[in-house]
Amino acid sequence: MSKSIILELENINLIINRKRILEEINLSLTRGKSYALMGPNGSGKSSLAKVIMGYPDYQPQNGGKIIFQDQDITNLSMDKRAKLGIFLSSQAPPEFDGIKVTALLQTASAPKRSRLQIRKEVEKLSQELQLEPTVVKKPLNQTASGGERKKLELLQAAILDPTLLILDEIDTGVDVDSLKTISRFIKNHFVKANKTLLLITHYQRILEHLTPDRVLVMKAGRITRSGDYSLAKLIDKKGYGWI
Amino acid sequence: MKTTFQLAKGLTEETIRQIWQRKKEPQWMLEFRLRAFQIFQKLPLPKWGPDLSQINFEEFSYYQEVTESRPRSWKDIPQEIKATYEQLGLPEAEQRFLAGIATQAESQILYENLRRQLEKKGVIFLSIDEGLKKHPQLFRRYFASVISPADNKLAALNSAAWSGGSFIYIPPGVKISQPIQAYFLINIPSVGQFERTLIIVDEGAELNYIEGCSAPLYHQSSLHAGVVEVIVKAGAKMRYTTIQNWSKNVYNLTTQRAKVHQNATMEWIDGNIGSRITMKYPCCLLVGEGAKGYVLSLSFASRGQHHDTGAKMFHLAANTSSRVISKSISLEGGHSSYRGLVHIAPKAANSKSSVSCDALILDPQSRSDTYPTMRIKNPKSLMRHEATVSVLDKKKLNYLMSRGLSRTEAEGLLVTSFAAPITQQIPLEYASELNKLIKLEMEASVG
Repeated sequence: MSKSIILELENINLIINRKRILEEINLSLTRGKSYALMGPNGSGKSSLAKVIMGYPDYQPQNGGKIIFQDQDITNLSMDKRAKLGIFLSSQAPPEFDGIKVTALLQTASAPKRSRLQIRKEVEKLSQELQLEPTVVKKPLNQTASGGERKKLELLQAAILDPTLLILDEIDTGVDVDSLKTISRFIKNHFVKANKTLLLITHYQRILEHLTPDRVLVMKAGRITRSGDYSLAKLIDKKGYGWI
Repeated sequence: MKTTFQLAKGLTEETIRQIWQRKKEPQWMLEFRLRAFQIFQKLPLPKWGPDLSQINFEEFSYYQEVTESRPRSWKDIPQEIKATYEQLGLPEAEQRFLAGIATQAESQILYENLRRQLEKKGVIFLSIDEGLKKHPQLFRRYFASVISPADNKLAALNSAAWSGGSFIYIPPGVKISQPIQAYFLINIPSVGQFERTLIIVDEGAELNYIEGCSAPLYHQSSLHAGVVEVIVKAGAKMRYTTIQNWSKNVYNLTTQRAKVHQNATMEWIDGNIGSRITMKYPCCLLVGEGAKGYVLSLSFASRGQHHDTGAKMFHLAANTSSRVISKSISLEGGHSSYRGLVHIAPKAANSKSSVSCDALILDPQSRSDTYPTMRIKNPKSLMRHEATVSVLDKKKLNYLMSRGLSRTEAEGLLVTSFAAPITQQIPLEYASELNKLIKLEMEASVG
């Protein structure tokens, strides 16, 4: 495999409750590039993301393989994949009643980084994300708005510092100002740092801020089309019907 | 500690006389002990709750004297216990004391300053035996005034054989904001421990008392049958915190009760982690108008453990209120039950009580039960009861693991956050100790 390939999906099939979710997906992502993954509701975008992350119910069937940085990770648990450098921001992050984001990150970063270090980083990054201190100090996502939840996902990503960042609808439920903040944050922390980005989105809007190198389109569990940024603009104009 | 004198096993009138003689107690205490012994013989063990049929009361020695000399060296302490202390991040002085290396006297030096300050204010903080000797009248006035030997079989046993424990008196208006701590340790195999604690918080005074237990592991079954009596006078405030981590062979059958007078407040905070069987229902007798009672209880029952814990609230005057928050965690076949009683007497008009029990069950082998009893005899009073049973939320578990937390770390974080409403109420160093203990237990259960 070429050094420039960071992730390789080989023949990924996924059936859940007898329903075919993903069919024969083959995909290579190049290190340092940005990808937009688009497609209508239910086309399998989020499922593909969960397969890459390693969610327990999303193990590929029929001998499909996931190779990350030249390592076969198909049978690795989620936490091990996260430690190798994969991060998936949740589309609908759960609301916790007792766990604060700082505590989560302190546990995730121990023993490499000290608790104090993490606390300081959280403080700095939340300012950059224009997150109110009260939001950060509450248990994670408790009474947080949609936009705040998405920002808290990015805050975690920035501290965990992954090589492959998958953002599942990071732009959904976010107002115009927040979208700008979020896009700028992604650009500064991940694009400029040469991270590989997989952006799952329905909208062109965020792509205006973060121009992808490639656009992938899914339909009924398959990747049916790919192209450059112009493909996204076309979809914005014409919808998915013509694909 | 080194045992210098020990009675033969088993309890008889003769052994009680010997205890009394060796402790050089007044005549009335002998009569009290003997009467209690008769009651002990007559009363049956509770027929409800955990199985106590394995307890053989003849197996225990009911009295021993220990020297205050350096008992054993650090290198004699089992490696696993040292490792636990270290993982808990205890200060070395505390580690040494818990391990039974430092003597009571040594540890008292650590608190000498505090003791002097307290003495200046007229506070009495003594061992219960000293209390009886130095303050005979005060002692006799309150001793067994809240828990009679006839209360239950174990309270009768304690009344007959008690030794050790604390005697505390806080004069009117004296407020002690700093938590006062006490450590108890079972470190002699097959010896029943019958501590007796008597605390009097006089009018308008305040006390925050912490009892932390951490016992090394032993092979033979041990019995801990303590009695804790608290008197909270008018307008006074008392908080009694217990963190119990007896080794997994201990029967912890402790009776705790407070008499709460007019506009006074009593708070029991009870964290049970260790022991084989714990039966413990901290109780408030709300005897004065406007009295308030709280119980916050946390139970963590793992393999081979049964915790039957809860609270008893007796509303015996008007405008009294009580609140019970119980959280239990069961895993690896552990069994925890909430058993509670709220009694609102006919004359307790305009009283309020609220009870909430949340149980978290980590696997299908484990079990949790709730046995609430409510007796509301006054139509103008209000009672609320809520109970929830939950399993670990898979969605949250997956989310945490996707951030790189191992399954054990993720479960630990979810469990400690479930317990947070209780652990947040105790001083930080104890809370973090408690959280670490929970995590250690969970790691051990994973293997």
